[in-house]
Amino acid sequence: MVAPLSRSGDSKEEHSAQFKLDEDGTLSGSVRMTWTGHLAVKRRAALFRKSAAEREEYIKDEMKDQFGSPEINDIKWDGIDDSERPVSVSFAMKATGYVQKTGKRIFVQPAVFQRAFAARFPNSTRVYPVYFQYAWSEVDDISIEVPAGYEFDHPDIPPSIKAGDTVDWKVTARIEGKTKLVYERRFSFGDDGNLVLPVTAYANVKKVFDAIHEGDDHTFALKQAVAQ
Amino acid sequence: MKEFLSNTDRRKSLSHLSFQRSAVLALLSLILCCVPAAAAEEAPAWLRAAASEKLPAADPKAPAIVLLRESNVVVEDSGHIVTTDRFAVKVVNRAGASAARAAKIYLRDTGKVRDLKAWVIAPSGDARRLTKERFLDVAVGEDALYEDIRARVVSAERDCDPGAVFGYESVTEEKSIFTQLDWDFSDRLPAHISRYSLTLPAGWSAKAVTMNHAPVSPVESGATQTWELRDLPYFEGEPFSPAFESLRPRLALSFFPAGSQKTVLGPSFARWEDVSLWLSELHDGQSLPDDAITAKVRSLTAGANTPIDKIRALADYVQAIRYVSIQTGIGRGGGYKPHAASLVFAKSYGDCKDKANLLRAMLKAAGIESWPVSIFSGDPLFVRAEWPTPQQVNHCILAILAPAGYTGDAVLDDPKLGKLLIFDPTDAYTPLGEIPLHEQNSFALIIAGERGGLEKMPSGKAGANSTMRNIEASVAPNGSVKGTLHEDLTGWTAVIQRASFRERGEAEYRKRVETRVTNGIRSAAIGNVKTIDTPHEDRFQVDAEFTSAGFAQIMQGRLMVFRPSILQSFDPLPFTDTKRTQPAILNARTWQDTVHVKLPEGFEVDELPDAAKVETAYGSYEAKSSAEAGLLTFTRTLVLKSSVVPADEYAKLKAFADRVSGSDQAPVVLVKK
Repeated sequence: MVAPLSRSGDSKEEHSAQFKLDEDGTLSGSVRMTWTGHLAVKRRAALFRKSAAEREEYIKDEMKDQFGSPEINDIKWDGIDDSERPVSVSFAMKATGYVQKTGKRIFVQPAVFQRAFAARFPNSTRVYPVYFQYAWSEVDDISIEVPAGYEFDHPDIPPSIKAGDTVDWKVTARIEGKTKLVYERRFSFGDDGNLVLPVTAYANVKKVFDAIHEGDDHTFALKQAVAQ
Repeated sequence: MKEFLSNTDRRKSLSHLSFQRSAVLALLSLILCCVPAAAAEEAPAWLRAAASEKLPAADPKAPAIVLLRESNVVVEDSGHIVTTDRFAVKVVNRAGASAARAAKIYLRDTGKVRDLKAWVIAPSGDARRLTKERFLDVAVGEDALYEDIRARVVSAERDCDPGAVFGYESVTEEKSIFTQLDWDFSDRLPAHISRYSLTLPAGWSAKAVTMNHAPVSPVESGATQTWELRDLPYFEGEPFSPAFESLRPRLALSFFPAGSQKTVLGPSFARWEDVSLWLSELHDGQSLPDDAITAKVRSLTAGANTPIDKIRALADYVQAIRYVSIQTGIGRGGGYKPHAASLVFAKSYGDCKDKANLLRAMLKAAGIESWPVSIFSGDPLFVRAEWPTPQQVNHCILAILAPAGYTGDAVLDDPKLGKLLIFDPTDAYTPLGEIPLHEQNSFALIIAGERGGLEKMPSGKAGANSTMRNIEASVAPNGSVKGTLHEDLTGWTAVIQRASFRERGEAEYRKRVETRVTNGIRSAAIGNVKTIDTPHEDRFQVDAEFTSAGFAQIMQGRLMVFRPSILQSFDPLPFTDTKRTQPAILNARTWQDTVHVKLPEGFEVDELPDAAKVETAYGSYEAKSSAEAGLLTFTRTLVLKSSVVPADEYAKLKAFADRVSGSDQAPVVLVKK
């Protein structure tokens, strides 16, 4: 008998955030992150022995890796000590220097929670199969209010990526009222139960994850609006 | 390299909460958890008192709090030293349970642990004494093939829930050859009471030096002096900070027998010259070249035309000899005396002092004078001039009389001995003419009899430790890129890459280059990776080709955006925290990128990154870009000066790091014609 595999929707990582971007490149707003299934177990295992102060440090350290030295306040954890519930954390964040700037443009990466991630498979060759322990999915719902006096410059989104029923990545974005970017990112892996990928498939695995990396790195350009 | 540890350092390395031997102790935890827990017995009054101390608010990050750290040392007329230690720690969280352990080091030939008892007081207040089955006597060896060092150990890690108190009391006895002792007032954990007492025989005197803290005056009671500090803070590691051992409060003691009284103790050291004289006696007789060594020297230097070529040939030979450490007779000074050069040459292995001593003998056979140098390998800030002792060092290198006219970053101008070329024959990757980074700028003792003494080792200049990268690339209209990378490294940056290449092998090194490139260029593939290692030129070079289909981002087919630096930014200055409690050590270094990018047909430059120029006391940064005739040129240079930046200057250092980081991210914007 083979034990059943969980589906990607059973182990979900969700990021929900409402940000405001200042002209100087500071991104501030409220964040909620939620983990279910195997992802929740992993977080719970890392956190359940930690004190309240250590749990605060844990999320601060994690954000530090991505945002330098953001201010993180009002941290509230939930579900760590209750295995029946998702693990979640909410907090207020203020990160300076979030954008890339030129003389007249600001470039902002809307995949805020994938920022500064290194390529998952940096090497061109591999000796052993790639083994993902379980199927999982990621859901990002981000809104970013852009600074007054700026408008989007040639906005577009990266193309969707689908590899059979193994990988599905897509983003949608819309601009509300000219000043608010609403960005939705959806990713799932392993719904076909294909979790062990042989070395012969490595080149394709790398190609797919490189493409996702590129898509996550995609930026939107903001240009100073011309006075009417 | 650790075989040169003094007796005190040996003891220190396993005392109380030092986690250096954590692997051994972790194993002990596994073994000991299978043993019956404890015998019912009331905890002693001193432990109960420590456990009931009212504590000030401690750093919430501290996993445990030391309630009492006490050492009572009695030096007997005979020179025997009897030490009674008491230690109590309160476990704050589960991670802090690892502090509930004791390890008392002793030297098999000159010391013993007379007694070691330990207790746990549960959060409920119930106390129990750990039974004798919980204690083990183990050999302690870190780098050495064999050592005479042993430890009596006990762990209560599995017995301690948050809120529990662990305590132990030990009595150890030793017959040291030294008339010096030192004491660490704290480990990384906060310490409520830390107390050291020294009782000397009548008529003896002691001199104390406090390090990393304002001087602590002893309280005298009869023949006993007691030094005490309270409420010492928690030490949390910070990037680029000195080693913790160089920051914690230490007490260093030298004591002197009355008049001409004979003891089993060794000499007293009032000056560094005294230490030099004592060590010279141990070293000098061991460095005589025999016929075999002389013949080998003749053979190795046959093709050498200049004195520096001769030195290099001999240095290369000894550097390649296998490092093997066998430590015996440590309690009688064995850790300080090299084996005879003839023996080390015949066996072709040895530890650091053996290798330094063999090279000294070979140089002697070539008519070149040299002297051993005792140094602390680890943190250049550790050795303090105010405490003359052989016990502050753990490593041995060599000072070679430099040939006339020879200059370089590894040359020290000694007032008594002349220009000395400092060389570490144990470091397999640092060539003659360079000093390993962790030894630069450190106090070290030149062992040259009365002419010896403490000297500050030279430190490298920024230009001598450089990473120069040249990138030639071409971006296509579809945003793809192809190009070449040439890296040229010198100084300790070359040493790091050389070590990585030799230790990991070519295939693994290639992967590391690949990862480095991929971190800067999305979806990059690299090929044709070549390395050229020329240690005698102090250089390590890497060449590679790269391609990437998704390098530049194209927006609606009209805008093209990419970072002109192509590769990832310079090794980041890791100063992201808003505040800091410890100094930051900056090592002199230069990075320089020169990038030429052939721009895609059909696009023209709309925006270039602003030029940046920053000058600070810690270093400088400059970046500029230009475009002409379809060719983008981008250069950036970061220079760091060798400095120790005090914590109260951190805001300025962080502002510098932020400016560099911000400038590194600025993109080029092209627009379709």
